[in-house]
Amino acid sequence: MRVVLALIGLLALADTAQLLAQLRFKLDIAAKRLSLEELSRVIPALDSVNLPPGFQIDQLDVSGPLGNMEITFAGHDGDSRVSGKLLVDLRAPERRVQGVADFANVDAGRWLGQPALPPDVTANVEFDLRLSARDGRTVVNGTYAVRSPDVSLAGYRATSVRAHGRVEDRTITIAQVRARAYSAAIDARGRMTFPEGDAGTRYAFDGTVAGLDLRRLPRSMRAPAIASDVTAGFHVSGAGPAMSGRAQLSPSTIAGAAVGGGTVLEFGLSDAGFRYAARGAVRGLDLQQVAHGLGIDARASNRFSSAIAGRFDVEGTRDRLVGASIVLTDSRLFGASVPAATVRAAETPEGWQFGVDGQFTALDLAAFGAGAKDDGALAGHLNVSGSVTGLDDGFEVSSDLAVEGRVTPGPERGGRDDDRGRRHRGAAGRRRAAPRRRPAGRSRMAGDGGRNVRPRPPCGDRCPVRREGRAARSDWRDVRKATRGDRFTGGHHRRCRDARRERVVRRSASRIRRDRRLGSPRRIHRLSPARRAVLVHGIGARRRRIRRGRGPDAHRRRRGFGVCGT
Amino acid sequence: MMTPRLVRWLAWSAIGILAFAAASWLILQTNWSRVRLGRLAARQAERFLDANISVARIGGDLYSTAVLEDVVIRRDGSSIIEIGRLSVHYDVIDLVLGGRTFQRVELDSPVIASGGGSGFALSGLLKPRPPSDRESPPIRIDRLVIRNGTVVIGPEPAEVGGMRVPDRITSLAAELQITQRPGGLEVRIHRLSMYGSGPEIAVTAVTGTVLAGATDLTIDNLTVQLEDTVFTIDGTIENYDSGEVARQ
Repeated sequence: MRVVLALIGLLALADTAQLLAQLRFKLDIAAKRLSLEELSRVIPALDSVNLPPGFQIDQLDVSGPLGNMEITFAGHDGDSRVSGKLLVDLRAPERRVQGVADFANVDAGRWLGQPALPPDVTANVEFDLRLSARDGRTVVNGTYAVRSPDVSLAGYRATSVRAHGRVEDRTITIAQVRARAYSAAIDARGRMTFPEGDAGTRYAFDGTVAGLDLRRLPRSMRAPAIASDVTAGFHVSGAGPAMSGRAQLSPSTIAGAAVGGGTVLEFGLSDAGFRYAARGAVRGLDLQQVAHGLGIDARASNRFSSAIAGRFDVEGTRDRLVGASIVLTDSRLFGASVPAATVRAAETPEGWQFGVDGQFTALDLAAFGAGAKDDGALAGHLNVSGSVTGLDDGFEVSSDLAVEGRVTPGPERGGRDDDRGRRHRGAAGRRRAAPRRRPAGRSRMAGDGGRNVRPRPPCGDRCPVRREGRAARSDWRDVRKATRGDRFTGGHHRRCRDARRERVVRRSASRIRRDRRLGSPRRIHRLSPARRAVLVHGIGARRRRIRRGRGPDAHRRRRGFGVCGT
Repeated sequence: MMTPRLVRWLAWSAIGILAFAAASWLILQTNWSRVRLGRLAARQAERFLDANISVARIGGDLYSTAVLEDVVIRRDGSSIIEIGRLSVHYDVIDLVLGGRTFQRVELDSPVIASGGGSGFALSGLLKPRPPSDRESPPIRIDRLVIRNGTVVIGPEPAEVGGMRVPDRITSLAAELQITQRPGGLEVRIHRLSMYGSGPEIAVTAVTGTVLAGATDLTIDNLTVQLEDTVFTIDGTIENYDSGEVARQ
């Protein structure tokens, strides 16, 4: 019988539920292998933590009663290490966990089973959380503060991260988060809510970003490499896959241009698709810098040297530009001064529709690549509209560009060459006296991809297109490439322009002399090294002058039209 | 020189003792006597337990082995402990001389209905006993074997210190050594395994030593092995008042 009593006494050891509150623990625990998924079945508080299977607890010292238990812990999984000190109250119904934890090189995505989370987290976290049971689940409320020297998430990186806020059941409130990312200082606050069920996460953030330089953004963002210093306030909100955002710029600098305060950028992503809108003011915008940032050929971008001032209003979707209007004031564009102009563009199912209405002065025709015959300056009023089609299917100026309107040359003219200017004045005068109108009511004019809307001289009798049709245009591509960058504007047929360009080249005595001595750049590369050395040394002095930007052909050097070996 | 009369008395005494022993042995082998003995044991146990005890049958030779079958401990009309077979191996001479050493105790298919919820049915099972001046001899069980045990915590989910206790523990198997020492009751766990359900958890192996003192519970190298987890515990749990446990 005493045996039975002893057994009952042993069984009573397990009957200590009512005594747990008064117990004082002083335990050292070490785990060679740990599966929190397994332990979370009996310790629900561990349910949200998903440590990897290989995680080892190096140290777990537990001391004190359940109501005021001190826990010192340290563990690791490969290079990932976590340690900390907690003060917990495990007495029901509301348990409390407060303390500090240090994470070093922790793969948060792997630990928490969320691949989107950063793979290398080094952070110090302070928290004071209360855990209670509600509807069969653990409800967490409390505060937290996070400090991290370096956080990488989804390919983006932030440094000097400081954040603090509250956790209220399924809502995480970020009272403030400060960080530096890509030379920008970010200060934000917001809230994230994780609803029950399949409903997506709801979030809303407000904040400011200062000193953003587009050149320092990661390549994955495909941002143009434009020097900038952007300061803006932003608001981003969303629910599940849908999101929207709004940024209001403070006075900033983009590509040397001053972007006025109040410039607003908006975007939205919903079931209807992606949409965006931007409106604001800019001053001193240099298209050349923008073109350079966008990776456009430097030689071609010379003609974009400009200083644009005005207001813009752009709206679009992922597939098309709904509408854009730019009101230019006191701008300089393509060498011309534009006191006032309005440019409108929109994309329709039939193609691009555009319209230009404004004044211009001192328009340098050479900036459009006109040939020597067309060089000069022009002033007047422009009011044209047109359409561009076939951009996705082999754009042809002759068939895909339609422009209709009026160009009214003004009284003020100027140019580098008086004779040329007179020729232009004469031609312009005739147009002003009797503006040419096509019988169809819609004239076809040659354009440079729609950028330069001005009349082209008609094709002459030597136009190869007229003679041979449009089938063999590719024959002239080599000629066109060899003379790329020359100031030339030909007729509205590309082959015609190419042919005229070649004629201009061949008429140039200096170029002919140069060609005789050096040959074209492409031909020089084909020469033998010995022959090339003779030619190069023979013109060494001339080459050096060209390098220094002086000499008669320095402009060719500046355009990258160098000589062999440069 | 021993007188013939004295020799005669000694002979008759020996014969009497042998006859008593034979008679008692014969009586103990009868079903009637064993039922009576079981009732006697139950009455003795009820002096210490706040419950009703019934033993269906007592087997074994009773000199070195006692086998109690269908032991049921009831409280408030419901059974809280059922043991299909409880066999105890001992040295009767040691017991007669006041020893409390059992070579082997085996429990087959014990079922413990703990009650679950906020209070366990085992609470208050032991009657409060007044302190005694007599020092009882230490209890020692060299080998306590439990086979196919079951612990029913109860239909209500039990939670202790933030831990969910399984509703039901089955396949409980253990091999323990229990020694009562001056410092307390030492339980040396050679092997222990069980399977818990609601929540599901399998304890594949537990080894180590637990010393239950008067106020402290000392854990020495207690290794717990689950399916994917292995951890070792060392330390003490203070303010563990075994007397209060006993009082409850």
